[in-house]
Amino acid sequence: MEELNLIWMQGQTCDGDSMSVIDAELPDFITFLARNKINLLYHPTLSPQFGPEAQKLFEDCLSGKVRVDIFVFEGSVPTKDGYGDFLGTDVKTVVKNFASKAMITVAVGTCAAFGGIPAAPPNESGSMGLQFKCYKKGGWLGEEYVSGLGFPVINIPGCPTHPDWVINTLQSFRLGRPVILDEYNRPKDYFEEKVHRGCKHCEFHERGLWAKNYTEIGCYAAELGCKGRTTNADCNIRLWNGVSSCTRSGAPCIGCCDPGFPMSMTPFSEETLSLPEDVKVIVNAKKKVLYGGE
Amino acid sequence: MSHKTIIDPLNRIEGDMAVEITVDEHGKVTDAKSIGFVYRGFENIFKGHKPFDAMRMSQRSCGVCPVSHGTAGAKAIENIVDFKIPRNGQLVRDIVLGANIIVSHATHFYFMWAPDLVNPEYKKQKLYPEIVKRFDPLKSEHLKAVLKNARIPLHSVVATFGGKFPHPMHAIPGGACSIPKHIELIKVDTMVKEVKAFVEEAVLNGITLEDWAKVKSVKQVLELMKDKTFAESDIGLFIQYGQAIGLHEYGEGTDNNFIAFGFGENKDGSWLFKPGYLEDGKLHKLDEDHISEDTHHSYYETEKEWRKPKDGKTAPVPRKEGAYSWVKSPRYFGNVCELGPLARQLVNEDPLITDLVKTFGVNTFTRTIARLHEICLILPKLIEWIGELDLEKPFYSPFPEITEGSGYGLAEAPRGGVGHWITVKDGKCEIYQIITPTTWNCSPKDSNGKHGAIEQALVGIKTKGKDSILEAAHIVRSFDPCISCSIHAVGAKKARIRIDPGL
Repeated sequence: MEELNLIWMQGQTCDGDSMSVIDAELPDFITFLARNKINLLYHPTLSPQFGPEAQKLFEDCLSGKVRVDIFVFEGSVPTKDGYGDFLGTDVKTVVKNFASKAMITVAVGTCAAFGGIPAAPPNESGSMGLQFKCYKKGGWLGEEYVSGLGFPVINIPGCPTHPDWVINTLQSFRLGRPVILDEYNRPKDYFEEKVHRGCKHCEFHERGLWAKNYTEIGCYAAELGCKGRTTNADCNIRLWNGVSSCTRSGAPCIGCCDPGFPMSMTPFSEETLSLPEDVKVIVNAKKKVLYGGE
Repeated sequence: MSHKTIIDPLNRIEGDMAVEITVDEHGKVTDAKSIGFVYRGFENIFKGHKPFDAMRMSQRSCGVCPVSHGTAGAKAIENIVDFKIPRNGQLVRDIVLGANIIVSHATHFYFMWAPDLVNPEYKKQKLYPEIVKRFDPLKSEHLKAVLKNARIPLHSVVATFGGKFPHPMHAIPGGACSIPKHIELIKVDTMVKEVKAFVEEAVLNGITLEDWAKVKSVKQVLELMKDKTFAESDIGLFIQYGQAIGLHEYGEGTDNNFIAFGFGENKDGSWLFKPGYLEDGKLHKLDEDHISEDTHHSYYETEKEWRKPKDGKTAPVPRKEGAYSWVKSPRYFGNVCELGPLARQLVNEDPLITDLVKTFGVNTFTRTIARLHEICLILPKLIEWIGELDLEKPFYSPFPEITEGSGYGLAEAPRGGVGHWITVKDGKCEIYQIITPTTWNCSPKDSNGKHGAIEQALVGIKTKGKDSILEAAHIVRSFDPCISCSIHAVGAKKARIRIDPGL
């Protein structure tokens, strides 16, 4: 197996996706890299090299001396001049340069994928995702961008993203398995279900029993604005940190994986999006059976 | 003749930052600029949102210490109506925050700090082979063990109460929205006890945390060091090696004022780590009203008067003349302060850390020891707090809709105290201001010409060689800043090392 070079860079970020990825459990992140022969060329929080040594590496990547197989970007891209000076140039230029060299480009976290909180109004820094601006295709690299292998930017959103989503996607590439993308260029396998599926409060939803306030028994959708029915992510099937999820622990979903996060989701405590048709059918059918009518 | 060296990027720090130092012909640092260079404008984004939404988003300003931001945000909103949360709610917040502080300290020490100990510059050190074996980044089995046996289980504890890490969701105005069951508390208790056992076996080499709690002076530590097993533990090894490479010789902040916001409220109102302000060795009560921020050297509108955060303003002026950072300059009574584990333990009058500073002073070495010491102080407390949770009683009290008013919330983050200030009008946020510990530590010069804490620690150090940047990296990282840091050392002859402009 030939070694693959992975370079990880950051823009307007909280570092949360990096922190999430190193919580990977089976295997842990370090073992994952070793087993899959992925050479972590550079990572902002993990790499030993810094200063001149790191610069030399970046130069070698851009001159073609060192191959960039996987370019992972975390955080949104400030596209207005003066808001993201970085490495003697700026974030937006660094992104373009590395994306042009990469065989695969991966946007990790909602910020890198869709813009996230920094791109919310007033968006003073002209912030956006790598290839999306909320729901709209385009973003900093433009709609036409494809990486060396001919793929668009692979979006793995989440605030934070889930370590499995990132690691298993990379592994799929490693093993030559197909990664099917949805309309937002997310790996479909992780984002086709709604957060609602597998939620431990589902039963209450079916029976129309709504929690009126926090820590009460019931579904959080009607009164507490849970976005689980409209947000695509397998949080409640996969679980987080091996044990839990937002809704499982008692917190209504705030839709952090959605391309429209945060603006389409606020107020968090109220319903903001119309229900998808399939969920509506289930709600209505159940109501009919259990309560004899709408 | 003084000269320039630029170290860029300086990584293994969270976020975006640079430090530029001027080095004279003797290798002495004569000036330092700490530069935050990426703007996100969170505070302006929150304007017009409901306070609850602003709080949820404000947590996302940091993926390393999101718990502290969530806590401070919830407290700020509660402060508007002087709301008292149920004891269970307080306990959940402290358990989750405690777990976060431990993990953050361990991650910092093993993954961000220790790789510098492996630097080839130290090849000739007697202990070097052992250091490499234990701390070589991305290779060492020991680091993997820390991930598996401390970081991952403690984050499962966080997730049990808050859904996930980062950005756990438990802290809301009114308490905590967690709904744990007995079986989950048993599991959480077991996990924390396993982490404790791991720390005692693999980090302290057989010293229990109960025994460690009895160590109250440097003399006692030296006594322990006579035992070969302890001397070879992670802490023991760092004590030996840290002195051998001279970490105790530099990194002092010249002003030596310290602030802590308090962590771990006990039932009787006492604290695990109490809040306070330490000036010239004298401890004062903390009053947030004495905090004000200057923007003289920051990329924001310059104002004649320094602003208190409750009236704070975020008006960006990119590439402003005379400015060099996106970080503002917060001051307490106009004084520069240091925040973090060392500050916290000095304010807390912890006997060991107080004696350590008496013996060695404030420097890169003692900052790191204080960080490791805190892990040992918090872990047993987590077990106690989990035991105190009472599932028969509420975790949350229904919280009213806030339409008008101002409030503030202070909390401790792993790397120092964090404050949120909020003003609500017509049910929407009018002002939201955040001051993080790194804002204090990495602040640029203020209008009085006073350097921020990290800048002070850098000025005056003597670098080993003309191109040696390792000391500067040690100093900056010893503060555990939460902004990805690139050091620009402004120094010698040809050595303006910058990335090719083509990048």
